[in-house]
Amino acid sequence: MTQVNRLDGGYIDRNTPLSFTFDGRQFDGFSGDTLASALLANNVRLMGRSFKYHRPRGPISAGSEEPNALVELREGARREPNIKATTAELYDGMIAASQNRWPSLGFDLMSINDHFSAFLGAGFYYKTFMWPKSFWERVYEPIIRRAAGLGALSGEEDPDLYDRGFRHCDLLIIGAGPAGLSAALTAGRAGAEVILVDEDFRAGGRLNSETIAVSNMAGAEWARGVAAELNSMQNVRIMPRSTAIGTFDHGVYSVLERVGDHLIEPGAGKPRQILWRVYARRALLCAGATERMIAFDNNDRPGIIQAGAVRSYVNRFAATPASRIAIFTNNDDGHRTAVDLAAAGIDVSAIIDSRDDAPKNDVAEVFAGSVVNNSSGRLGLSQISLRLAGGQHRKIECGALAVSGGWNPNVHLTCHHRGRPQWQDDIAAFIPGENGPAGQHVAGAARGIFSTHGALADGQNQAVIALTELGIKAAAQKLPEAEDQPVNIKAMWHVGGTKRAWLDQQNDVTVKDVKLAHMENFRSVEHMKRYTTLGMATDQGRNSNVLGLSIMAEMTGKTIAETGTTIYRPPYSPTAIGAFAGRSTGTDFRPTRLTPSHHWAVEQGAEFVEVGSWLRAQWFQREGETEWRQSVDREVLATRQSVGVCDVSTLGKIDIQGSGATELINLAYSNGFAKLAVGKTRYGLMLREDGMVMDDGTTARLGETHYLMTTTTANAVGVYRHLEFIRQCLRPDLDVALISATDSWAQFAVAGPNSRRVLQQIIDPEFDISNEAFPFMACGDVTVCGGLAARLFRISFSGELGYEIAVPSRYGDAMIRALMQAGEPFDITPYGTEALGVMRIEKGHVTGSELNGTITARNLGMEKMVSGVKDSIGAVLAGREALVAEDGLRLVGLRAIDENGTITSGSHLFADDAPVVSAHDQGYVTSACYSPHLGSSIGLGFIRHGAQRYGEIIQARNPLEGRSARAEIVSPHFIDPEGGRLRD
Amino acid sequence: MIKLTTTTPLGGTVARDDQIGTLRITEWPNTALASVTMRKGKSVTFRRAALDAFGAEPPAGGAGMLLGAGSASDHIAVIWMGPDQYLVETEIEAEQNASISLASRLAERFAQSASITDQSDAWVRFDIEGDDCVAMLERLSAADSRTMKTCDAVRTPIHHMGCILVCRATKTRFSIFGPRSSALSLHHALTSAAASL
Repeated sequence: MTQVNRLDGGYIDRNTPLSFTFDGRQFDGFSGDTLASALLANNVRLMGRSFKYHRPRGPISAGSEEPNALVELREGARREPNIKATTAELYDGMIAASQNRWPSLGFDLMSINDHFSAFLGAGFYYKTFMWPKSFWERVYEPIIRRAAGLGALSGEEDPDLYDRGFRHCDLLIIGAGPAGLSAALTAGRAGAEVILVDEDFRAGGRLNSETIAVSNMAGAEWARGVAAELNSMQNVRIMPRSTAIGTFDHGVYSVLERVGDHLIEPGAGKPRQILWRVYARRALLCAGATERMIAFDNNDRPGIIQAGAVRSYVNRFAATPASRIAIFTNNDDGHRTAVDLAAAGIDVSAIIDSRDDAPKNDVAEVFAGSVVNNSSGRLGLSQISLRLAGGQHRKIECGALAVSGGWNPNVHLTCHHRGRPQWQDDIAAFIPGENGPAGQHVAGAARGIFSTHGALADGQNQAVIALTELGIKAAAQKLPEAEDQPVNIKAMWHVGGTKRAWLDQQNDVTVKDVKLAHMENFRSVEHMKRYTTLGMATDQGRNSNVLGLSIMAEMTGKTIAETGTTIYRPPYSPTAIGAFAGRSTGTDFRPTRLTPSHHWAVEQGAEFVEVGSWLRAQWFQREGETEWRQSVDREVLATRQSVGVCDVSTLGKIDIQGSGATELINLAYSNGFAKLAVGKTRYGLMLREDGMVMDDGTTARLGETHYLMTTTTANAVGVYRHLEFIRQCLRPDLDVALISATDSWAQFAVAGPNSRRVLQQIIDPEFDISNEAFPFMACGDVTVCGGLAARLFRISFSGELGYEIAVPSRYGDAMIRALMQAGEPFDITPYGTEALGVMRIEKGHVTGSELNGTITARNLGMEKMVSGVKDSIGAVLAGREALVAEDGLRLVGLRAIDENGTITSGSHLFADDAPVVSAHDQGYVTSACYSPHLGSSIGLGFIRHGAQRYGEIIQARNPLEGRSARAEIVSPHFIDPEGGRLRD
Repeated sequence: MIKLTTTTPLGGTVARDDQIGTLRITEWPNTALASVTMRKGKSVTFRRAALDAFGAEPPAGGAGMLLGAGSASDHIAVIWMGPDQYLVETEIEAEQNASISLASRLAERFAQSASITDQSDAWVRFDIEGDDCVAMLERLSAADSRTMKTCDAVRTPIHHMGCILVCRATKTRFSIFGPRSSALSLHHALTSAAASL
């Protein structure tokens, strides 16, 4: 297919021809094209269908404001919908498809919606789908979503990588047009750290699209020279293909860099996009301006394009939308377009200028005081209708209409902190208000300074102002020569007519819709926006907002300044969710923590479970075991009969030192710690301020002013934070230092009647660990395996004679192997978290399942652990009336009485003969397991009056899982209630 | 008697060493660390002891660090971790007992003016070296690695892991200390970032 609309010149690389497909048809283009410019060069104007009415649409712009030319790019898992053809940089092999049409773009059956437009106006959904209520979610919404929409996701996992990144600078310059380049040059030469971002792949902004000279050379050439100079500066970083999408607090800006979108696919291990967080001491917004359309009947026909975009296609991309183009304008820009088109050899059929005093133009007939009031043509423009100054009508043939309704400064990033733009009458546009984000300056067209000279000068001035605020000296430099035309516009928003005139082409909102909103009293701009959906599409009203306001102003008889405007929020351009996620996806969602014995456990064939961020061995399957419970039962029985070993390094360990350590710990725990002797360990209960139990654990006194506190695995961070709060805020007077020692130590529980015998082979003989020398709850420094410093604690979670031995983590792997070797004669068995859980339930020890945030010490039967003779956090509020009520919940054991009955955690408890309804709910099960020791299903739970109800039969029901069991209420201590085994 | 041998934080018997493009990422296991926290009301004694131990005042608040041959006779790094709290690092031999080599010696020097906790096995240290260090670090950390000077140190999260970034040579050599138990995740983050450049 030849590129019939390709012109000479432009800034495309003719030495690099590219091939691509659109809706299955093959086309050619060049490096430097966008998908839209290449399609136009190939005489394709029809690129999409509209959102609601499925009207045929083509591009109206050449930039990121595009509402119409949205396509699906790429295939398979990489397919991405709603990509703007106007910014999609062409690459060889690009595959693009139109969207929101069926069966084809040219023949779309869904365009039948267009014939029902009378019924589909603003508020249609609100008025129509009111009844029956249940139909909304099940019937109406799915149908509407299918019919009205944009492209479709692939439904497959995104194969691409996305990076997050962080950069710092003195001055962030957003936009590399004349203002941005001038600012960057000034700041760069002053030695400031500068980041210059631009969403385009070529620096220069409008200079690339205009024939305006700068410093006696083509503007685009000047821009290229400046970009080259900036690139050579160490202190300046130019980031092309990078969009500043949001302004955040403290000078933080989000910038999305599309590093791989112009490639067929990113290289292996390379990201497709990087979401940068830029910390800018100052920012300068040089985002330019967006040209407005003028609303008239059927103004959405493919071929009706912003005049500035037509110049972009012709001057930059050497692609004309048609061979014959008319111009509709209310300002001098239209005339500039005519001159450029004529210079490119394009037939300019007419200039329709709504101003009565329109200037003459050499290249085409000027219709002053006239308007375009309709268009015609199948699937694209072929003719326009004019209403001339005298009221006569006339038709003109043209394949494209270049429309210039004036320019709107791109104020979006000034609004992200709720700054409100202000109306400026002489340019008929909103400019940034005075209340923009702190540290942000605006220069050039983004604040309504539209001439090239004005932009260059303002960029420099604003850069100097921003740098001066930072104490960086920057000198004003001689500016290059450039045009300095004043703005000459006579506001003209829409041409009255009888058909539909489009304002928001992406959401299919017309002048009539705004008038309807007014009629139905949705007159505030915020109400009008939401009622009509004007400006609520992905272009955030960049093309439609001011037009809509002007019509509402007209209807209410107010000025636009009085009518006001809605504002903008991040992101400036639609951004893939993947970019926000960065690398935090799938198994990389968060980091993993591995125990010191992890690699050994992998060798043993352990199954792992996530506990917080930790991976812990759940059980160790042995040959012949086909079901997890076989492994767990074996581990439990072996431990209770001889000896077992378990990695407990995951428990939080907090090293507490200082002369105030005792006082701090005594305040944090509800039970007394003031008299804990050196070399002893004590179980402690920690309450929150509100009296509920926060955590429990043991704390060892290693020295006069030195303690080691252990926490549950899941609460390690929370407890540390809690202690820091006490230290810094409640008792800053105390001399206490806290530091986490969790990762420092590899700690192993060695439990069972033979545990001492195993440890005696590991611990150096000079340390006596007999029951007399090292009794229950003792702790102390020892050495192991010939001199390695270690710590020994005689504590037990399993209820058996037990120790925990800790060595520096680097020896953890060796230590587990040493324990297994030393324990071989005793058939030592490694056990995982499941067996650990079974044994602690059998023993009646509570854990996170019981400490669920709603439980008090009294509920646990530990009310005596809330000391009445000292102050401790939570002690006062634990005494609240409701919390000390006699009929409160109480921790009990539950034992299934039927052979096959299985108690499940989460079950609720009911009297044996009571109906299973919430009114009869008496409590719930927090932990449950099969006890190989007792040979039945057991559990721990809370039930009212629990302590007085031992022996009662109740039902444990879990309607969610369809499980139930009859159970006897028993003491939570299923084994060794006196604790004799611990003390042997 | 069973002999215990060490493993590196990544679980190997020798330190991991990766070359990715121009960047070299090295696991650095032979290091001893201890936290030193000034005790309340002991600032005069503490400063005197610090001068004696490090040969200089401890680094100022924020991010400072000190490298050099102190009177402790070997290579010492002192990293600011928080108000009146420092992480001290020395290099040790592979099988040397880390806590004895550093924490106990510091405890002697600072006597009752500081709380000392051995941190040798709490951290994994990775060193990155090469011209693309800054480009790589920009993908990992909010710290301004581009302007860090030799000896600067800063605490910074990397992929949700609380890390310490130390500049060993401006723009070309850095150390990252991260939680030892997350060594594999941190290593994955570093190598992925290096490969993504």
